[in-house]
Amino acid sequence: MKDIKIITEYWGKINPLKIEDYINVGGYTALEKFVSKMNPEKAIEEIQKSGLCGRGGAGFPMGDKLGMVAKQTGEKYFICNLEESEPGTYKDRLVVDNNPHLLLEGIIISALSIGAQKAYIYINGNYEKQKEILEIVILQAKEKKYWGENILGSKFSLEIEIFSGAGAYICGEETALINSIEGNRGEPKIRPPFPTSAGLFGCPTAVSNAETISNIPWIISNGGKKYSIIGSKNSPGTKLFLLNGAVAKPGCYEAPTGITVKKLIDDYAGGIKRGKEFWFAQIGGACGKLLLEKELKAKMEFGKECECSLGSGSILVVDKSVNIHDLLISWTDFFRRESCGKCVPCREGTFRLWEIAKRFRDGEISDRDKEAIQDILWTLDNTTFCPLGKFAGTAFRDAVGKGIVKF
Amino acid sequence: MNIKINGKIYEAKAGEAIFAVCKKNGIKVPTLCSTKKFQEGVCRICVVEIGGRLVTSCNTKVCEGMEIVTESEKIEKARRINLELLWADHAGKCATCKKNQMCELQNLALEYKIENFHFIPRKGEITGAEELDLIKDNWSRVVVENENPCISRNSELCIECRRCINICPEKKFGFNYRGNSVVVGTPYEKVLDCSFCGKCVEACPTGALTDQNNYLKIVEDLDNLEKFSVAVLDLGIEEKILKAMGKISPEKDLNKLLINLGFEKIVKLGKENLKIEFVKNIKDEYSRTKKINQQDIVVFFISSRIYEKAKRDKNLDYILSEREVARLVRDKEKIKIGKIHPIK
Amino acid sequence: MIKKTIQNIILEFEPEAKNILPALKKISAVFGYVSEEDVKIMAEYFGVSESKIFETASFYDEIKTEKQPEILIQICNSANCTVNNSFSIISEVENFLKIKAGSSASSKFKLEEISCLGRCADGPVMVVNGKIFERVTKSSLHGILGEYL
Repeated sequence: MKDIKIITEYWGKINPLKIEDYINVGGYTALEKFVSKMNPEKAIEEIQKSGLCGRGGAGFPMGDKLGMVAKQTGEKYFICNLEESEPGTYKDRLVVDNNPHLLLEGIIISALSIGAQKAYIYINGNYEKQKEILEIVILQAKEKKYWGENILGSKFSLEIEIFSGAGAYICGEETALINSIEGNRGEPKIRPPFPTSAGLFGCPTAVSNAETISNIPWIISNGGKKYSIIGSKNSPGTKLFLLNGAVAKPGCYEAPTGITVKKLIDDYAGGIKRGKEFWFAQIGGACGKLLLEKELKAKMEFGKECECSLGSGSILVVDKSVNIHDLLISWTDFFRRESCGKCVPCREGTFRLWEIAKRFRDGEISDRDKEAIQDILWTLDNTTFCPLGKFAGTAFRDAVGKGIVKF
Repeated sequence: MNIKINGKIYEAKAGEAIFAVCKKNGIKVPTLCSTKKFQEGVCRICVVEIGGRLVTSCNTKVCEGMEIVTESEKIEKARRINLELLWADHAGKCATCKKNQMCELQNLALEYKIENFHFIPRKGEITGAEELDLIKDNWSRVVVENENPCISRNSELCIECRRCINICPEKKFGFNYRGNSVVVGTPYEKVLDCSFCGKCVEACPTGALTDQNNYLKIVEDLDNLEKFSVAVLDLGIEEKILKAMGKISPEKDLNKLLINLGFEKIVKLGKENLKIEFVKNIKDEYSRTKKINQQDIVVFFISSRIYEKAKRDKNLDYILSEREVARLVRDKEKIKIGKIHPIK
Repeated sequence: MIKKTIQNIILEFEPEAKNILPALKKISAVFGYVSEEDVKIMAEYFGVSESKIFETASFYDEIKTEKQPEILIQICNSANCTVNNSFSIISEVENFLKIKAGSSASSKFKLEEISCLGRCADGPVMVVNGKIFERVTKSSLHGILGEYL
């Protein structure tokens, strides 16, 4: 099963800007199947059966999300989340670079399955080249009647629009993303109501990560059951992993979920870079956990009972030559800058952690700071408004708790 | 529906927030941001426990059978840490603050015993304009504005609770920038230009938004034996003054309080003489009947209508809001108990 | 070429809420920043308060609300670039140009630490006036900056 590829199958083999290339390898047959032989309920059922869960980090079951919005009536939206500003993560960018039509097909099917009249692609403001690629492929697909009025002669219609972000990490959070399209500050909104019942402009909205969506055509073509037996039982499928730092071959690899970190480093990324000594690995971006050597056999999956939540799928391998002081400042500076500033623990707490990290580097850390660290980490974990705040202290906590830094 | 708060059963309506139910039943839950109309849940002080999990009571709706705890070690810890974080962000110049003893943040800090805190204050004391410029360039933007006639703004004391943003009918304030650089204020830090309804000043929990006045001159005029000070009380202001004073003075007789402040005469506007014209004639009337020089009569219009300050009516020497009266009383009390030196 | 004015930029957009951010982005890109006057015109056109336009504008990294220095140097200090030594690049720029990261004390240069741009395999990443440079080293840095000085 190791070699099954769903997303990266045709990377480098087809010209991403040629729709014919994609069609020649079976592209848009899932959409054809959807409009001719299936109905939205059946499609959602297949997606539910597949067990596909969100690849952005939270791992929410995709089929359930689509089902919730499908149930609602009236104006609805589908949003493809391509904000991707999690540090160390660029998998969605690669999806667009290498096979944008696969993503587009997934967007069209997902949007139609929930009965949305309009789909937005919310793309990271820095991804200018990727925006151009999407503009080209969207036009190509329109000419072939894959979207627009009466898709492939059916009763289905859909509008697609690209919305470019303006640089704010928090906009990857779905309610913040919605706020951003609505012309507001990209702050998370209070839940409930969840976007699935009241999202963009108050209408039911499904927001899904670009990688998640790219799995949809395969599921529609091959059936949910076939997908559900790939990888880990609780969160099946394949996942794009990004290995960076002190590995021999850094890059993006597709592997089944449930794979261990060790296997990813050794078998996919060519092991630790020559001359470097492994120290720890950070899993899933800025808010990710740290794993020591003895913990590398942790399985990468989503879900409540998982050994190690794989987050966005990025794995940063840190070797012993890295200055941990710099890294502590990097983590804390990131959150102090990217916090939306709305709630007290996140706005003030992340700032204080950054201050303490700087004092630590300068050798000026006091007993007062050591006590404060515990308090801040606790309040971040327990009292913040949104998940960004909750996870803002994860890396710092692990660094202290696992003895990576000693005061 | 029925919900349980601290083990006791209470009735609640669907759609009601936990905070509202607590308030209705006299269960005290502190908050620094929520108001009757807006519950943003930004201060995280109103947290309560449900099944071991902390939730903000102001914007969590009740549901059947909910079991809520409003006081526990965990809640106390959460409130204390977040208060401490806010306190350190606050300038902490209580002794000279206009809102001293009337500040919601200060009161909570006292209640939760925030004394030896763990964080280094972010905003230091600023004295000169040069220092102000310096801080403006720094990561903590401080905006002090005293150029408009009615409202004095000092973002140094702001705890970013968003009450003013939400309450302003003209939407003059915004939550600007991001992360730790957040500052509540006007676009481009412009001088506030609005109808000065004063709702923001009333809502502000700290001294960030206060009434604009020449305090020293007010005190001087009140203390001046040659001046005849007249207090003209607006309709319904008495209650507001007593509320604004809180626990500052045990005295609840407003007449006594005002006379103690140095007012010679107290006139109440009633339903029949609501018109400002009445006030305008006061100087004429007193100079005629009491044989006092017009320029020695000082008329204080005590009213929530702080926009009157912008009109610069020559017949009204001062317009004092209930908060300013409370401040005068507070400083008088201090003199009485000999805590600080009397104001010059 | 027709000179771009704020008026003809906003007329490219329908006065709908979803166009506020794109319009602000465009204004900032064309003029370098969004001015007080621009906010006023935007507010009128979109039928919302000035404070709302400004709070949105000031939230996002790509929209500037004040005049930018001639040369804006941005260096990623997120974890991946940090592991690739971006901190030494930051201090090299600080020492070379005698400025401090984050400070706007110099009117000519400004050095900013920024968050991940998703080019982690090619870090450290530096952006000068919008142009991205990858795998920056202490020696390549001087060559890059040389072109702007």
